Amino acid sequence: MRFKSLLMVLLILTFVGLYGCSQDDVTKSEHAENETKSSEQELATQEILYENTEWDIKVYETSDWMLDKEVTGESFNVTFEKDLLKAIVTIIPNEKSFDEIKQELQVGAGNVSIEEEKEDFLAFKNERKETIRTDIYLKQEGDYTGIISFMTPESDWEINQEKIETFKGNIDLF
Amino acid sequence: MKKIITGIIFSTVLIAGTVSAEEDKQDYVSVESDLYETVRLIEDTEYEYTNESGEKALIQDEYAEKRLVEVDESLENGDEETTEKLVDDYNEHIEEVERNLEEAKETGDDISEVETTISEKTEKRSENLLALLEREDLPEQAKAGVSKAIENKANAMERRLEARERAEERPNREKERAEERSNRERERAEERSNREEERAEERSNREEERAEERSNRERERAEERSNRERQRAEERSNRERERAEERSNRERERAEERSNRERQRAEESNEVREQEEVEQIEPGNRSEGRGNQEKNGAPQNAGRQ
Repeated sequence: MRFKSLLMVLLILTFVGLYGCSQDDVTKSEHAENETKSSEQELATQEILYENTEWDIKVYETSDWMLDKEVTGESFNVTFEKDLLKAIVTIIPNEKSFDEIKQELQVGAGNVSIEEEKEDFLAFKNERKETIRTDIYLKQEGDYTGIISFMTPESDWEINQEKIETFKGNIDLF
Repeated sequence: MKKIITGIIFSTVLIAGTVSAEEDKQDYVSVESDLYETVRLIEDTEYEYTNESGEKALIQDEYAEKRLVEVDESLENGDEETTEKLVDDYNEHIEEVERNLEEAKETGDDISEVETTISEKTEKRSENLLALLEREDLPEQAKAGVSKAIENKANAMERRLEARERAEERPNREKERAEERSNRERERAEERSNREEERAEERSNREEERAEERSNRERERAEERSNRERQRAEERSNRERERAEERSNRERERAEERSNRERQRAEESNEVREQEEVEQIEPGNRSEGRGNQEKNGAPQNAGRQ
């Protein structure tokens, strides 16, 4: 009789132990699930500010940046702004070399002085009373060339550097 | 020979053509370029980020000039739609120039130089506008736009005249201003010099007053010193007189004492002499008396004592 009752107690303890372990596994799997969900949420929180599938461009939400206007035709232009900082994103067919593009934009901007020039980058300032600085980044992929031009008053250029870099990183071309 | 001449002419034409093409390439971005819209967006942003009205007017005038060149190009290309749009854009730029000039005037900015520059450019462009108007290939809508632009040009001419007048007046105004400035400076200098003279006078007066006060104080101190010394001298003199009196009294007392003593001594010596004389005159009496005295057992010199 005593043996039976002891056996019963042992069985109950075993069940309780097994149940506890299974609960621990459930918690672990829930935690893992939560982790996956949160990383998915993170992706989801980086909302899209602008998207154009025809020209294959996606711009992710970046603090206080706003869509300004979109101009489409033979080429594609979309502008964004934040305070005194403007971004012009241009997509043109891949017909001109970077040097030709830089030359043409420089001519189009009028009387300017070159600040910096690299193979895929050009920075110039207009020769006016209130100087505006333009930084142009070029990217060629397949049949198209992407041009991202940032414009800001020269006096604000230093403080806008970080904003330019962040926003540039959130523009997904091609 | 003919071949050589033909060759030279051909080469010259080729070189001239190349140079001309190089020159054309530099001026502007073609309306047919993929980058034309980007350039226009850059223009918009440049204008948006400019604050000063005079500067904004100059920017818009420059853009108007570009549009006119582009109109010429689009006409050559036979692109009516773009031509019309560009003429409209030209007029919009000119309207914006006017608006900015008005704004600058309202804020009281001196824009006479800006006005002169803009009017001169407008005058130069008027020939192009008239030539454009005479072109047969210019679309009707664009023609209306160009006519409007010519009207605007007439307004600009008026403005130019006004600006020129103002510019002519400017040297006189500047001369007047310079004179006013110089007068004001002279007046200020005079005021400064007067103030400094007044201050110097005040300083000198104050110093004189201080000197007088100092001299009065020194005189008073000297008087006080002299009074104190006089008092001391009087006291000294009184004390000496008192001492002299005391001394004199003491000497008189001593003299009196001396005289008393001498008189006493003199009296005593007189008494002694008188006694001696008495003794000398009466020796018998004395020996008798002495015998009596010896008989009576009395000492011999008892009478002297």
